[in-house]
Order: sequence, then C-alpha cells, then structure tokens
Amino acid sequence: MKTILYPTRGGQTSYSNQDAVIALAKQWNAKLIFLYVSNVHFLEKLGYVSHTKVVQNELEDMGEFLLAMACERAEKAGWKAETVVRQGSFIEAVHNVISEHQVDTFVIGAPGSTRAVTTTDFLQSLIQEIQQAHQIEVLVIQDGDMIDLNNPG
Amino acid sequence: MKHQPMRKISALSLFLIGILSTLWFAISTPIFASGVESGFLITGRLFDPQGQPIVAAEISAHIPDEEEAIAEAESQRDGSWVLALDHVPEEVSVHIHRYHFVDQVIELDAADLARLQETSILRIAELSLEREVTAGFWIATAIFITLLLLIAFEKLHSTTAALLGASAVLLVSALGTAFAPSMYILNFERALTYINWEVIFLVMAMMIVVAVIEETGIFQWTAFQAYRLSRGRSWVLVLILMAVTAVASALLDNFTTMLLMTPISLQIGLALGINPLALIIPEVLASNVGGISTLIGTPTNILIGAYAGIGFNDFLVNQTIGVVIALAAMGAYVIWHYRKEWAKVSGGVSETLYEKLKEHGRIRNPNALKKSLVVFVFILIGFVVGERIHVVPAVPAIIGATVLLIWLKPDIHLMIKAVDWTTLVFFMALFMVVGAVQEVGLIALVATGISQVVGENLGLAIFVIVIGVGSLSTVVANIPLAASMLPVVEFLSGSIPGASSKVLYYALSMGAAMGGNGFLIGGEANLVTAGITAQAGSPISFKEFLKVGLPITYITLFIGYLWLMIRFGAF
Repeated sequence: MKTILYPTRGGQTSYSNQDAVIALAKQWNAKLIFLYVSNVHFLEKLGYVSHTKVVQNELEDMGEFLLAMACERAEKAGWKAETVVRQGSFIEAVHNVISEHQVDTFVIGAPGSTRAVTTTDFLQSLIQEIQQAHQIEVLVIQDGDMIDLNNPG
Repeated sequence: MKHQPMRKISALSLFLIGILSTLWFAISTPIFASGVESGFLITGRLFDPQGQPIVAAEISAHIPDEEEAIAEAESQRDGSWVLALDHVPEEVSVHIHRYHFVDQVIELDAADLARLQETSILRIAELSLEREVTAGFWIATAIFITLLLLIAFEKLHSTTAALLGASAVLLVSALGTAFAPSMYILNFERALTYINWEVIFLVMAMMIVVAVIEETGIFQWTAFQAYRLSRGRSWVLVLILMAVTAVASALLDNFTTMLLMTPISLQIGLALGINPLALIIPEVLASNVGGISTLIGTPTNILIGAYAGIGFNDFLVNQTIGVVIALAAMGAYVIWHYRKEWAKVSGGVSETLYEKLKEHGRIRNPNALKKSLVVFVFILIGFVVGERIHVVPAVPAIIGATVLLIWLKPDIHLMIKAVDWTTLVFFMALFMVVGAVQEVGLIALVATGISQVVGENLGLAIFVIVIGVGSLSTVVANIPLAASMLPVVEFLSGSIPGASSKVLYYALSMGAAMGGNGFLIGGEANLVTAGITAQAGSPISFKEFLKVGLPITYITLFIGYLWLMIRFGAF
C-alpha cells in the first residue's frame, strides 16, 4: 500500500486541494497522511518572544483541529486519513515525516497565481530537495488540479 | 540545573537595578532648600514661553572683575531657584544659563541690594526665558523623525530603533559638551529624569499577572462559551466575541487577548463554514477600542494616566460610555460589511469537531484561575482605592504580582521570561528620545502651533486631538506618538478655558487607540493576529483589513469626539 503525504495549512483555500488529494489516495488505494506544521517565528520577528510557549500550544491545538476537519472531508469522501502535527521548520518536518512514515508520494499545494512567482521558486527548490533526499515521487497540486510546475499554464 | 543560581542572581539583579535606579533618581534630584541655611538669599522662578517651569537652569551670582561665581544654584522642578550668599557685595549680577534658551543677566541695583541686606532675602520677579533654536534642536528633531520612520517602515525593531535614537541623542550631546555647545541636547542624568518609572513598573507587574492568567485557559473558554451561546448564528457570535474581546482588553491587554482568542476563533469560524476573518478582524478592532475604557487597557492609557495623574476610576467614568457606543456602531458596521458571510453558515458542527472545540475551550488550570482572579480583583480594588489615598496604580499592581508569585508558586524563571523586556526597554529609550525633543523645544513649538489653530475653542481642540492623533496613529506607532503629544496636551490643557478637566488627555487616549484600527500595521494586536491567521492558511491582507478598519476608525473617532463633547459640556 502506497503512502501519500500532504502538508496543509487547513484554510478554506486549501479545501479543493485537500479534496483532490483525498480522491487520489482513494484511486490509488493509498494511505493518506495530512501534515500541519506550526511555526512561531512570526512572534520572534515581531519581537514578542515572551509569549512563545503559550502560542506554540495554541497553534498545536489549532493544527489538530484543522487536520480533524481535513479528516472529516476524507471520511465524507469515503476514505480514511491520518494526521501529524509538528512544530518548527516546515522543511525539516517534511523530511522527518517522510522518513518516519516511509512515504512514497509527497503532494504539495501551490497557492494562487498572484504569489506564483516567488512561491514557484520555493516549491521548485523544495521538490528538488525532497527528490534528492528521499527519491520519492513529488506531485504539485493547484486549485484541485495536478500541475507541472515547469509549465504552470 | 547548575545554571539555576545564576538565573536567580540575574532575576534578583534586574529587580535590584530597578529599585536602585528609582532610589538613585530620587536621591540625585537636588533638594529645593539645599544650601539655604546661611547668609543672604536671592530667589526667583523661571518659566518658558508656554508658562511651563524651566528645570535644571544654571543660575550664578557674579561680582564685577571676578571670573568665578560667588554663588551657584540650579532651578528645580517648579522652576524655582535659590542663590545663597555669605555677604552682600556692592555690585552683583545674576546670570541665568540654560541650554536651548537665551542666556539672561540681571543686574541688581542699589535698592535691591539694600533690601537684601535688610531682610536677608531678595525675591526676583518670575522670569520667562526665550527659546533658542540651536543645532541641537535640528539634530534632536531629525533623530525623532528618523525613529518614527524606522518604526513605521519596520526597518528596525521598535526597541532597537528607540535605543538607536537614545544613543544618538546622548552621543551628540557628549560631542556637543566637548566640541560644539550648540549641538548639545541633553545629558544622561537629564535623560534619566524623563523615564517614567511608574509606567515601567506598572507595565512589568501587569505582564506578570497576565502571564499567570493566560495559562489558565480563560480566554479560550470564553470564546467557546460565546460559540455555545450564539447557537450557530454567526452574526450573534461575532457580537459576543467582540464584547468579550473588548472587556478582556480593558482588564488585561489587547495584545495577549488577541494572541489567545485568535486560534480558537479561527477554529470556530472554519467549523461554521464561514470565512474566519469575519470573526477575527472585528475582534481585533474591538480589542483596540475596548482597552480605552481603563487605565491598564492600552499602553497609551498607562502613559497618559501616569503623566497626567488620571486614575483607573477617571478612565472608567469618563470613557466607558463613549467606548460602548463606539463598539455598538462598530458591531453594526461589521454585521453589514460581512452580511454575505453570515448567510454561509453550514448545517452544523460535527460531534468530533464539537468535542475538539470543547477540549480546546476548557479551563486548563481551575486552581490557578481562581487564585489569579481573586488577586486580580484585589488589584482592581487597589487601583480604585489607591486613587483616594494617593497611591499610584503601579503599587497595587506590583503587590498583586508578588502575591500571585508567592501563592501560586509558578516557575519564577518562566515568569521573569514572560515579562516582555523588549517593550520595557522600548519605553525607557523612547522616554529619553521624547525628552530630547521636549528639551530642545520641538514639543513647545508644536504646542504653540496647535494653540494658534484652536485658539480658546475647547471643542475645536478636542476635535483636533481626537481626529488628528487618530489619523496619525493609523501610520505612526501610537506609543511614541502619545508620549510626544503628552507635553503638548499639558500645555493646551493649561491655556484653553475648560480644558483643565483633562478632557484633552481623554481625547489623546481615544485618538491614539482608535487610530490603530486604520491599517493592519497600526497596532501590535493587528500584526500578531495576522501572524496567527497566516499559520492557518487564512492570511489577513493589507487591503482586506483596510476595507473594514479604515471606515470603522473614522466612525469610532467621530463617536469618541462627540462623546467627549457631551461628557465635558464642550458644545
């Protein structure tokens, strides 16, 4: 049985991508893992390190909830999904979860077109890094459709 | 574990530094009567063109052909000075020197000297010194504007920017002392006198109290109760959440309130199937306004209260009704603005999600909550009663924080870490920079300019302060703005008939806080809220915030203005 890893922030704009990954997992009869990674770096950037611990806890609760919502979407579509919540660096968390859960396919969502220029660079470097480190299949999904990052049109 | 003694020493050292600085400040302030025991006394008082007493002017008595002064003194906080002479010479002149003012020499005539000889004391008429625009004036002004720009454009963290400003002022003054006197702004000792220790200790103590309360889960519990009470009606939910946020901000602080209310509000919004920002943006707007009604609700109120001697009761009595009306108008606008969202509510929240919400919205430490609420109530009583017995709010706050530390025995290192030292250092450095522009006369110039515009019209002055400061607050950080406006408001309060009621300070409080709602970058609570929502894939864009925030800013500012006009009978 294949294992698919899909990191999500859980916002409303990610619902179409979540549905597409659920459909893919169902089609492949694959195990689906939703990953949420929280990071309190924004607090450090704003200079409010004194609240880091309490905010970390809150974000972890929030991540659990967002992934519970994603699991409900999977259940409604007739599939079961697992969840993993991590804190800290997103890239590090992805590497760790791929290794720990023997992931075969990594699916990453590409956000809307307005931020595509900068995000494409980030995604390309992430994809390259994941492929080199784990030799696994990487798919990019945007607005519910699989896309080729080199030919977004 | 082996670092624990060091940590204890560090914590103790910080506390001792605070206490010693206060003592040093008190001891180092010259006493009015110093050196007045013997001989003959020449006294007087100095004022600036705005009628404010001039502090730290150097006064010396000279006799002809003698370079050295025969007596020296320094003007005190009320502008008074006393020169003590051991005999009455045949000719004496009194020299008055104060940086940023034109020097004056008073020649005492024979009649003056005869009176001095006869009565042992000679009172010179009150003197008004003229301002002098020096190179220091322009340098201090440039430093202050640079500080505001650095903060506004986020080129440096506000604390770093304020420290840079304070360092620049002190460096220029040191160079001025050594090489070019016209560059002098103020020295370190003088800069320290501008630090308001009452503000520092009150903010520090409240940070400890909030750090204990924030871990109890009370914020999350109230948000979940709001959801239950609303029974799935999202427009009711947003109104309850706004009310809860406003009250929590008034009693604790809006930054922490939003930090803890945002994640659970986001979960509730998503579970209901609406855009969670339709709940969260109104909450942050309410948090910025709700704090206005108490002394501890906003950092600007703490500054204003300490500067003008406005107590907890005064804020509550004079601002609350205006704030409630402003919040009601805000609620109405929000319901209209997000009307499409309210129609989107999904059929209901599943059992699993409801249980998760309930779990996240539980009281995590009931024992700590009970104890901290008891102490908090006593702190509030201390604020109210303290005013009547001339005890400043910092005192009950410090006592309350200490009682909490003893009663609950939290990890002291965590509690010390919970104190936001960056904010406290920001305040200290900022006070020095604002002191610099006050010293060189920039603030006096602004005060005179506003005074010329408003004349003796109190209503116009209220309007200018509420709307003007509110508009500036949308782009300029409200804490430095309020800190620099305080001496301006003090001058206007003394010169406009009817303004002695301190109404202009309340106008400053309303303007500075309500203005923070204009733009996303207008307040710390806005930025931290945006940081959290971005973590959940629901980022708040500048435009999205502006569309709701800017109209609400001007609606609430106008209501605030009208309320103060009614409350203080300024129509």
